[in-house]
Amino acid sequence: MGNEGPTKEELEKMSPEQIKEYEEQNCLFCHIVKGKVTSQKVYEDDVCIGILDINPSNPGHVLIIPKKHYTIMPMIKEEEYSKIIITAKKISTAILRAVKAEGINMFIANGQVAGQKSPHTMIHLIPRREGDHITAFDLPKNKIEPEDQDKLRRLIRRKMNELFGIEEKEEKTGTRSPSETNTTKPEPQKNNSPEDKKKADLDRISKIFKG
Amino acid sequence: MACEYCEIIEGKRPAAKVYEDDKVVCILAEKPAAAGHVIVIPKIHKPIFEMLPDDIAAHAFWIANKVSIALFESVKAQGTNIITQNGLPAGQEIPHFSINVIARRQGDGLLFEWLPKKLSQEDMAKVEMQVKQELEKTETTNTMRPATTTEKDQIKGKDSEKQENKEKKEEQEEKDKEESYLIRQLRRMP
Repeated sequence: MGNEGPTKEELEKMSPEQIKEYEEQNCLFCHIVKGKVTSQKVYEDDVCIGILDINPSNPGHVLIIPKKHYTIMPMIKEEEYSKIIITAKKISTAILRAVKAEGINMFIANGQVAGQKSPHTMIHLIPRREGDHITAFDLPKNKIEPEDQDKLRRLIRRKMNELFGIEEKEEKTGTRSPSETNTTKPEPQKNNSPEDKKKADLDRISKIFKG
Repeated sequence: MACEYCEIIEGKRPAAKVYEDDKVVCILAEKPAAAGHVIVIPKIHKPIFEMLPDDIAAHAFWIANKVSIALFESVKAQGTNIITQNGLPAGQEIPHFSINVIARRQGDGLLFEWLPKKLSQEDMAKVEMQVKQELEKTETTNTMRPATTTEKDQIKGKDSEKQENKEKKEEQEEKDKEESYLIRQLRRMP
């Protein structure tokens, strides 16, 4: 690859392995893992490293970085992921004692829209104390109608069952199935597949939470 | 004082469950941050992450990953955040450790961002040393801690007062070894 990087055409022709290699060659955190870029390392084992964040939210803010290049957490296999989590627990305990913190937030961002800043996934461990003026982890609390909550519950539960190979009889509320239930706005019935209805429902429910 | 999450686990309190196994239960948040906010709750009652047995901690986060995938695929999440609130100042309201998995979408109005603090090189070096020292201490005293027999029985739902008292005693012993300042904070919670 030249200094300007591959063109869009070149990228499209690359195999997944080539793309991965390109990503790793240009990944700051892969360079940090390999020691090519300096960092304040506090921990290292065979699957991950722990470094101090150079722009900490609080003193003792540590990043746990898998040694292998993964874009998001769900890509990591269970065995490796479990080791990383156990390490997170170890480091979390150490941070609590080291900086005499009163609490810790663990934070993972999967995807740009979730605040992921780097294509190399990582775990943030952020020490907290009373009056530290960090509001990032104050979770908003929204009201949700029972019907919408139930819709979400069915969708997510069905998917979880699918992911785990769990067979469960589909429940029915009264005489209507979720795709037929109409709450606030009556939608035009013609040519609406269950998939369209589901999308419309999700769009409507998501809008409730906006600002 | 009854624990809200323990009541849900024991079936004494209703909740919108989306998954359950012998170690964890996943419910929808009653007052969600977004459309698709799942809480992963270990069945064992521990106030903070650091007190969980290693295998339960790993399993809970593994399930959180699966919930992430489920949110991507079932409620059109474009991203997900996994957030824990360990301790009062971190936003913890229920003294039973849990993991929040939140669906994210473009323009959803959520902002989990913080202002970076500029620390001097000296302060950074000090913190680095302190964390390393604490890690070296734990390397020599504490290795992988799987669930004890007591904890396994509790997970299987054979909960009884005897178990609870035994666990309280174990917790008390752990308290003396673990960060007692943090736990004192948690006990002040109403």
